[in-house]
Amino acid sequence: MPRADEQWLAKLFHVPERKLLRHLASRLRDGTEAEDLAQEAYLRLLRVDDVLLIENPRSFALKVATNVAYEWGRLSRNRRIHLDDQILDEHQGALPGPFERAAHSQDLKLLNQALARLSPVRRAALLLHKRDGLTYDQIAAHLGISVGMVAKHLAKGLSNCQQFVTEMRERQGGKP
Amino acid sequence: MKSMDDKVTIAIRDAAAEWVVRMGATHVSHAEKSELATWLRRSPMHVKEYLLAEVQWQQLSEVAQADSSDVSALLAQGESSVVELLPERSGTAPESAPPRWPSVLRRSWRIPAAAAAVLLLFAATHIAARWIQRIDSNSYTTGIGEQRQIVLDDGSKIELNTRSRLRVAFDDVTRDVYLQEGEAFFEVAKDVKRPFRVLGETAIVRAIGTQFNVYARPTGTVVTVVEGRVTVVPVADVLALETRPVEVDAGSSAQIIPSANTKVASARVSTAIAWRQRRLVFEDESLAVVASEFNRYNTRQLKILDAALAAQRISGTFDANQPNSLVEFLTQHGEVRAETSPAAIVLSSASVR
Repeated sequence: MPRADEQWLAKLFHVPERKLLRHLASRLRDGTEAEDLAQEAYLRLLRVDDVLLIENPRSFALKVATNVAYEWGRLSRNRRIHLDDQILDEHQGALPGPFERAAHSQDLKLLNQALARLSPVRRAALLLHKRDGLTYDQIAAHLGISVGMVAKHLAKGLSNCQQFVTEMRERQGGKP
Repeated sequence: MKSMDDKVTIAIRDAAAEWVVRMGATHVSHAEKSELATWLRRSPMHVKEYLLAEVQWQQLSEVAQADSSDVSALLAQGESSVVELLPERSGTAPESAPPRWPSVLRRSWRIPAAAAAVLLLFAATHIAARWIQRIDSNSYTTGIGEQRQIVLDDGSKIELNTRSRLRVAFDDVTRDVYLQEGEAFFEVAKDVKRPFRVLGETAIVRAIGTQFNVYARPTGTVVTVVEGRVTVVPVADVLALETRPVEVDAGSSAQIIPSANTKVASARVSTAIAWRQRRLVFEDESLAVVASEFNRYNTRQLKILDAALAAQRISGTFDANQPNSLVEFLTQHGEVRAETSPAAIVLSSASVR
């Protein structure tokens, strides 16, 4: 049963998480923008009430970053008023337009390649969790390893994917 | 060959991935959350990699759904044929623990060193104390018509009104009370080092040593101060990260309503806390409000049939558990009809029908 204060906090974040993360993804694709956004989110996290942040750091980090992204979306709308409306909507993250959809499917394509290149155990652990919906405990029982090892495989799998996607993007973007 | 910067980035990336996986577990401990909060506040690079990892973790769900590979076949391949996605990093980069102060190595993050030092010191002292697990954690509820008194470890007293729910979470640094529903009166024992906070759905009230009443209505929160002073912060402000605390002194009350400015006005304190004597005091209040107040205390609910009657305003002092006294008051001149059943008392204007 979730603790009472977690329920209280959950009420504060009634944005569907999928939507929130998808919007964030669109703002984090560009390396420079991601750095700026993280910098601003970081400064705001320093100002968040201590107790509240400690109770739910994950939600706060996501929420704060999304707030920054939305605010900047509005700013860019004011500055780039001459731009096509559709692109502006995408900047605001209101509706995924064709540009955003293409970028999203490109993300997934890269990630698919990354997943295929993972070590079999890491890939298996990720599939068991993400596709088959097993908890870490269940995966541990299934693979006959400790829960700690499961977490390690999942984390390594995730950071390997991250590494691959970043390097591929840098190559495509022609950056050093 | 990897540069120093790249090595640091990769170490942070690994740590971020571990955090994301840990937060995705079925049970996440308070200590782990507190540790993540500390880690995120250590460097903007941590924030960046954490956000990227969360986004990727979500996208992995989509990609995994489309991957039809057989898990047992994958496992049968074993680790022998493993071709690393990327060359393994040298042993200098720690696998599980993030490097201590990676931000210092990056020139691109422009934080004045002095400010950073102060923040780190603040975070370090504050967070260190937080490491200690919560000691006391209790929930209290009251049913319809029930009231109860709670004496806390620090000597503070809480009186919980009808149909209310709260949870006490004390530790070395804070005295937190989550008011989840209803109304409570707080008599806070003075402790300058541990502020007392009441966290409601729409407002957070902070006090050091004082007496105040908090009523969490469905529409908002009303805070009335009997003695001393409290600080009130609307939850909406906390979310917008623009905390503008409002101070409320003895004899005043604050109304916190989402999407409106907090109103502070002088209040008749005795009226606000008359419930402690099981009395309901109304001054020029609509019958609709009066009925809903009575209904907090009684299973036999008051219902008003017509809008004209609901809008009628009355003043008076009643026993909270005697809705009949209100009914008698209303029906004495024959203008209001009352029909009583075990479940409800239905009121209507005598002129209607």
